[in-house]
Order: sequence, then C-alpha cells, then structure tokens
Amino acid sequence: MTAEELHPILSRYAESQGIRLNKDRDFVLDILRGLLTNEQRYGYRSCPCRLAWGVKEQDADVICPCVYRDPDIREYGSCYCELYVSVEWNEGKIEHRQVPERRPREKRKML
Amino acid sequence: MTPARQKIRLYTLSTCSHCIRTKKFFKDAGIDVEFTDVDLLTGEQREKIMQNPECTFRPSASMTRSLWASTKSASARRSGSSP
Repeated sequence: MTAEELHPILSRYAESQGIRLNKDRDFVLDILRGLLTNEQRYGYRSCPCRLAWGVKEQDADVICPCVYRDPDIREYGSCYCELYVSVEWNEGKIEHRQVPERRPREKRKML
Repeated sequence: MTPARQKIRLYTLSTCSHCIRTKKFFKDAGIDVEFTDVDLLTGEQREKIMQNPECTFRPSASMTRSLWASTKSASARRSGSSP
C-alpha cells in the first residue's frame, strides 16, 4: 500500500469519528509514508513522530491512532503529529498550538 | 572575543513529517546542519543519544509552520512565482 492509497481510507475513518485528517495533504502524505515505513520495520503502524521500542507490547500506546490522540484533540485540536485534527483546527478557528508529549516518560524510548 | 562557530546538530526521525520539513528548511536556507535520524541508528549509538530523558522529536507546531512558510516563500521567490 502507498501513502496515496492510504490517505482516502484514513480520511473516511477520521470523518466517521467526527474528526478530520489535517488538510495539508503533502504534510499528511509524509506522515503516512512514515507510518507505512514503521509498519514494514516493526510489523505495526507505530507513531512516526515518536521513537518506537520495536516491541509491540511496549509500543501499544503509540500505535496509530495512539491512545493520546483523543485527549490531545480535545485539548489542542490536533494529535501529537497533527495527522488527526478537529474540524475547527482544520478551519483555522482555533489556535494551532504545540502539542506536548502526553506519553509518560517511563514509556518513552530511553535509558 | 568572537565565539567559535559551532555546527548545528539536530536529532531527528526519518519517519517524522515535522522533521522532514525542518530538514528542508535548513537545506533550502543554505544552513549547514548535521542531522541524525535516531530511528536509523542501532545498538550503542542509539542508546548513547537516548540518554537524554527529555528527548522528544516533535518540534513546536509554530516552529514547523514558520519554517514551512519560509521554505515555500523562498521556493516561490526562486521560481519567480511570488505575487
């Protein structure tokens, strides 16, 4: 599957959830390429904006859509990657703020 | 005394859209930056970089947007398509 093929699938999925894909298509296609790279690399679509452990159980919370997406969209209008966004975010009706890392430190890939 | 010029080094992810834009910005601006895609590192090299407990790769949205806007306007100026 290519990023271009994945785009309409995830776009329909987002709409079914009452949210949207970021309207910046080129930006989103780069995210989707990252997702597909991670799928090939690890066997699952780990968040492309975070460093994966490469062990599914340890990355379960950041398999896209990550468990932090919905609270991030509620608070900031977008997920950490800015892949999934609210309608208002896409329409520029709310400020586009940096989404801080909600993943707990102990779950991040580090020593 | 003028401080010695130091090369900028950024740690990035090869899969990250924000990182891709940041790299493009510096490249288009002609600023020499050394990028290290941490997800492509293995073993000791990777562990060494990950010793920073605050290490995250996502630049701020405003920074990314500013960089991207700069990149686009620079491209438009070069191609002569700027209004």
